[in-house]
Amino acid sequence: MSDQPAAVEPYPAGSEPRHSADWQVLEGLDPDTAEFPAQSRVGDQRILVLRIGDGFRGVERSCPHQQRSLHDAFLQAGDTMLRCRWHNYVFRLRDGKGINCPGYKLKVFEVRRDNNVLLARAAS
Amino acid sequence: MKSSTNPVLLKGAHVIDPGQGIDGVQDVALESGKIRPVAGLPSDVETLDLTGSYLTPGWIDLHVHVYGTLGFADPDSIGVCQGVTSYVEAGGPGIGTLDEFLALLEGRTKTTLYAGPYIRPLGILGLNFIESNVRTLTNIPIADWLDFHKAHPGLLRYIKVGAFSGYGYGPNKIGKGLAEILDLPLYAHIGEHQLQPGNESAYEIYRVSEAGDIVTHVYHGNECGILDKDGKILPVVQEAKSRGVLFDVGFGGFNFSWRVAERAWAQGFFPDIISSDLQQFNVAGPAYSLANVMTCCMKLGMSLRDAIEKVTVAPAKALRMTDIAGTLKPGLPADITVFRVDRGAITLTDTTNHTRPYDQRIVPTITFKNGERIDCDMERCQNERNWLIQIAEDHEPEGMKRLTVAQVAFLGVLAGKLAPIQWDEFSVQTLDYEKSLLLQAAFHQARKEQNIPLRDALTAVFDVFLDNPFTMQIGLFLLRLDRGFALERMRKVASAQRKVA
Repeated sequence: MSDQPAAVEPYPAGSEPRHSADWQVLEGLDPDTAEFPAQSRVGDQRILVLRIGDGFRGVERSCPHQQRSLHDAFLQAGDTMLRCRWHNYVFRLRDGKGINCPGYKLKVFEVRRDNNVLLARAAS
Repeated sequence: MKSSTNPVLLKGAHVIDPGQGIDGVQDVALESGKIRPVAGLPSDVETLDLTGSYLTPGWIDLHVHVYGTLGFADPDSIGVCQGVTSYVEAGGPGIGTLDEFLALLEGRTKTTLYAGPYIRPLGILGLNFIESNVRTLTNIPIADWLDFHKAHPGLLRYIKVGAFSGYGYGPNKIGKGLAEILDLPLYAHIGEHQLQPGNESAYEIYRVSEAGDIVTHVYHGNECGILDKDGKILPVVQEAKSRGVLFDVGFGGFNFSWRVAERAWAQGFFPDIISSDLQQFNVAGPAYSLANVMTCCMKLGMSLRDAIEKVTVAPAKALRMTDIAGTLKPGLPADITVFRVDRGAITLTDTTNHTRPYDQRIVPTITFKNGERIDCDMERCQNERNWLIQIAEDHEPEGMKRLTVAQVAFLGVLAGKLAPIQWDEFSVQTLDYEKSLLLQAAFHQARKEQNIPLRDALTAVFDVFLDNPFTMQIGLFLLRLDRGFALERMRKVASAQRKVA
């Protein structure tokens, strides 16, 4: 991994500590060659990394409704939400909130690029 | 072609009208919103050439959700836009919310909307929660049911009951008893048992149902279905069928399994009625439309003629409405569906995400409703504004601009009534049913004090929080709002008016 300062989406250069303790490298996931959504891990959490426009977002791999895989879920509402294909439960990627399924929450992860590496951490 | 009093000739279509034994090319005529005989038409009659299309009585979908937590912002998008001229709201309201249902939807759809209310006073709760908890039946106000039924002749078409758990088979029998008192069929939901491990109450449904009662979700693949562990039709199910209980597809979001349907088909266990159970949670797939569910039945081996029968005369008989729908008999409302059968490879998906290839599909093209022509738009229902209900937390909906002075004043009073009530963030595990009743009562108290029509009061609340015109039980809607946010917005609206004044 390069230790040279670089502009990292979605943060302007210098606005975010590059390798703060809670950011984790997503090993083996090349942002230029990987097929998305791609499987990865943050700690013990198995996640899916989605490409959202020019950036990325991570979510837990299963829908919290009935634990069905989200690998073939649909991006919705201008790529701001994710829809599970099984029962059309929709979650906001910003914070994981269940939009049409109140009470449900999807774990979401910030994912940023640092040169040829992706880093992720749990979204606050 | 708008509905006109002048006669119209629909020419050259292949007409399938199983209720009259018609299956072949012939002409159909309408006049003044009714079917009329072809003989005697004037020589210059307006004519629509439908050569190459099929033409049938308007389709009846006896299981949809256009109201409540499963409903749509645009109910006609799954009705006349898809060839369906009549449908039944399957359980959205109960006796405690039928007034809200009517205030919001009566006369608001081109598709004729009937109600199959739920035995629970609040109607279907939706979203898992405590759907099977018998305590949510609270009281069954028989006198209110009788009075409502008498005051709204023809509106109620069945009584819906779910297979409740935890207190034996009593709830199913209560449902059957209520249906008998009202002289309506019992419409029993036997699905979603994956959410209720150990609940075997559906088996009692097969026993208490009588000739003319309807069991829906016949091919679901969860617990408590129609098959035994070896895949054979259960004797209790076969006995029910033999004594005249009707079995309905009710595709749904959980309740159509190729595996179950194919095994049942192989044993000659066919559905009596085809319905979609269209709702927010299956319209974007895998159900899509009643036409798609009919196509699934054809994939299983059903003929086109039989598929038409099961969405026309069969549901008309089951709903006791053959005098107003289900056939093309002269004098009946001119409710007609025109469609094509397109050839080409397609994939049909069940609710367990299993697929089957097929080589044809039914595509509705024109609906006539009381003689009015409506060109079908199968995609209109797919608009996410139609099925994705979301609270406008970060902006003020356009509907707020429509609020009248009386509605704004009502919202101020409502905020005051709700303020003493504490309700928590919505939980998946539990639903504070009692709290939803309290919120509903506060709403009605404010409405009565302000003396504004029920519809105005309901739409005032929805317009403050929603971008799109969804309708649902007001107690459940308020419960799903964040309390602090809801009170703040209602107070803000009310105070803005006071400042103007």
